[in-house]
Amino acid sequence: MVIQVKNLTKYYQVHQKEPGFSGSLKSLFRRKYYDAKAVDDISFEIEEGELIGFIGPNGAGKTTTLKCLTGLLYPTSGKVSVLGYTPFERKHAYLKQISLVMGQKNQLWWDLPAIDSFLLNKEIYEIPDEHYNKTIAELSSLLEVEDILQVQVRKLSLGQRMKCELIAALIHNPRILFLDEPTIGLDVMMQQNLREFVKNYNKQYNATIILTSHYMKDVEELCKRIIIIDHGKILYDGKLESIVKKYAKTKTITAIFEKPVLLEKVKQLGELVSFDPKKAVFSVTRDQSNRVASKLLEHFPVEDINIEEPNIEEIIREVFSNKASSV
Amino acid sequence: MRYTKIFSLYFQSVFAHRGRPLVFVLMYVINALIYLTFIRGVFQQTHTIQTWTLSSVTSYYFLLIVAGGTLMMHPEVPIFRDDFEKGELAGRLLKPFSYYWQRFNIELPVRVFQGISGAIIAYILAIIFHADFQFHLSLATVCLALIIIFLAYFICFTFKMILALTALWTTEIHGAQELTDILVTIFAGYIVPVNLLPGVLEKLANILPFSYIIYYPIIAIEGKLAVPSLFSVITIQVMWLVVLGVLFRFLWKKGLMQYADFGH
Amino acid sequence: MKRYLRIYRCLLQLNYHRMFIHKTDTLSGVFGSILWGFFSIIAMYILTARSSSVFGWSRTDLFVLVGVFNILIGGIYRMFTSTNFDRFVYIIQRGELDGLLLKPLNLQFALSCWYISYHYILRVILAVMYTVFVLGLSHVPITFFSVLSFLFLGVFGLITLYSFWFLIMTSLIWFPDLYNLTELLYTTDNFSRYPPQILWAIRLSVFIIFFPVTLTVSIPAKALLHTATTTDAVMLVAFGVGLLYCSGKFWQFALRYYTSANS
Repeated sequence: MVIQVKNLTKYYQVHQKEPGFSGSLKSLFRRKYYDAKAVDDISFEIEEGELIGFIGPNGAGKTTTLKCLTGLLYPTSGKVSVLGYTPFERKHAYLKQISLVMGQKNQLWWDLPAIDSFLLNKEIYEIPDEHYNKTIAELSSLLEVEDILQVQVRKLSLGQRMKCELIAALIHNPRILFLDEPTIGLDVMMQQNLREFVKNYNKQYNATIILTSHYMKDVEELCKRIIIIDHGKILYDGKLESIVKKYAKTKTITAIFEKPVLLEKVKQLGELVSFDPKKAVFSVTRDQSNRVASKLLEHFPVEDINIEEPNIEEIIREVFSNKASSV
Repeated sequence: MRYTKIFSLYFQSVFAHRGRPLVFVLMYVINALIYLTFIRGVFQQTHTIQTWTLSSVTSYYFLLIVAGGTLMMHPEVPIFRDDFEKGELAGRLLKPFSYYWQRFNIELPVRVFQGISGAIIAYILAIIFHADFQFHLSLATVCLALIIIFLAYFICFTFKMILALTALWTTEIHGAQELTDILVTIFAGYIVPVNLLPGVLEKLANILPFSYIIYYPIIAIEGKLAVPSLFSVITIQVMWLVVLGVLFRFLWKKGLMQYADFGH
Repeated sequence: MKRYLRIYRCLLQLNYHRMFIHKTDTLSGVFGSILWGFFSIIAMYILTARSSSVFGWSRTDLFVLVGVFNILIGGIYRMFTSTNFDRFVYIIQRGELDGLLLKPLNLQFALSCWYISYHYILRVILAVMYTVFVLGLSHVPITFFSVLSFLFLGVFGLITLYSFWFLIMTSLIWFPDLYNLTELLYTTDNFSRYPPQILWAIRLSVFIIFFPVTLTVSIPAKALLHTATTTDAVMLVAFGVGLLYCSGKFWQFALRYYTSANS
């Protein structure tokens, strides 16, 4: 196990002001604080080489957890061990093996070309010249940024800047990579490029990658295992396909017909979501989906049939809205 | 009514960040104490300089803490940082509310808070230092002194707004701001009272608007000026306010065109 | 140690390149720093216009004090720390300390040494010329020993002031919205521009915390004026070393309370 988290808890003190002018006057002399539980007694383990999706709504505790794992925050209680180190001690040997990339936050020098920032990181991480040149060549080729490394960072587009940020974060070949909403604000092409890159990086270097994202596409395409967190608690920790099987009670069957069919005959097969004489969409329970599909093919002139799982976003939404029981 | 509500809301935001205005007041206190203590060292050798005694100069520096906190406005810093650099000017221009008065309403609560805090601290220091405040006031001098303070407020605010507007052409104001800070420190009476400035510096101080923001309001409220002198001060203040007002309107009009030209 | 020297050499080069990218800012910085240098001389001229000595320092001694202030604090200290401390506020408010916390680098070094403002070099040069001129006017000999003592004590004066600033700035961990803390510290630097006796004359025990600041310029100035004593030197060195140690320890303690900004 490269990451072991046991009963991790993190509270923040938040100032609570009463409304209005009198509330402002009172807060001048005496302030009321309450403990906001960002992370509340969570535990999980991660093996080397895993690519984990860490998902939850805003304020769920994803970033706080990530920051506790990277040593940026001191836990209120609980134990965290990453690569055998206690993250908050921030030993240099530990920091040389991890990296955190936060979308919209940058570490590159704004006024200088990205290559200058890479040179500084080379000195900080004590990377030998040969290794540095090889890594830069590989990463810039993978991300297709060879021709912009000499351009001032402030003149780059958001996508180009994000790619350069990634290179800066990976220059020392970290064993663990934390990605905090890396695709935020990027266009769809750039998001896809980044996902491809992360997938390839994970395969090529066997790096453990923990990714937080609001975009379900990131999670669907990259992660086999997900951890769902809400109000500081873990709601689900397991395979992505299992959550679909567990929480998706129905499937959607779309049938397109060669010739128009009658509504009275079609609606006997199952619950109709929509109908027109040449197309019918059904919502059926998982165990009935094969039966309905075979009946459609047997009794109707079907041109094309499609059986779909529910959208992962809908499933996650259901988990968050507490309609599903916690795991 | 809406101006009262707006003022109230901005005043509440000052309380939310109570530390910041207090830090600014501390700056005025430290500066005043350093100059005061140095001058007291000078007064150890000569008990009177011009009309100033050790006691009257001590009370001057304590009133300087209150005056600095209340009258010396700094709208240019947030204007440059928020309205120009961050682009928040566009949002402000869309409000049914003059930009000048919007900025004034943001600045006023901070000044009130700093003035009150400064007055409390100055009073405590005055007790410790046995400062002997001697206010020679009549109804006429009080009324005229209040007018001087009122005009000082607007001279300072309008001047600083003009300073901020120059950023629409120069794209940065740090050089002009530093020059202004130096001129204000010398000619407003922060280092020594204006009539203790050497020769040509005193003459310059009486021509430039800075002494009419800090020095003259202080000695007016102390009752050190006779009624005719108070009227002279008011006349010069009104002249400066008219000049600065016209300059502001001119620069604002030109500045908006500049701003629109670059499509910010 | 070698590693940090290599990193610092890299930082010196990056800052040198940066200076030419922001030409307007550089010129504005040069103009501003020289203006403040002139202001400090004019202020001393105004304050001493009606007296030949204050607190046992003659008028020319006070002008030497101003010169040394401009060399050490207005020049060298600002060159190495002004942008870094301004950035200190910004990165704690925005939660951008995270990026530095993740680097295998001493955090105090990363916060304090990242930027160098080369535009203060001209102020240092002018201040040296001015100080030599004033010493010459007052017929104070400039000897090898006085220059060496000045340099030695100047280094410890700078370390003392830096440590004092760092101790105060660490409080931003608990009070991140005090973005004007650097301005307050620029104001408290004024204690170093005047004789240390000012502090005792203020008669407020809370001001004792500024005592180390009053020594940072006055003792090196006394070295040039041949009036520094062994006690002065020992005191300054002790403050320098002691405050530097305390600033590091206090910073390590404060980091436990760093809550970071939300992403």
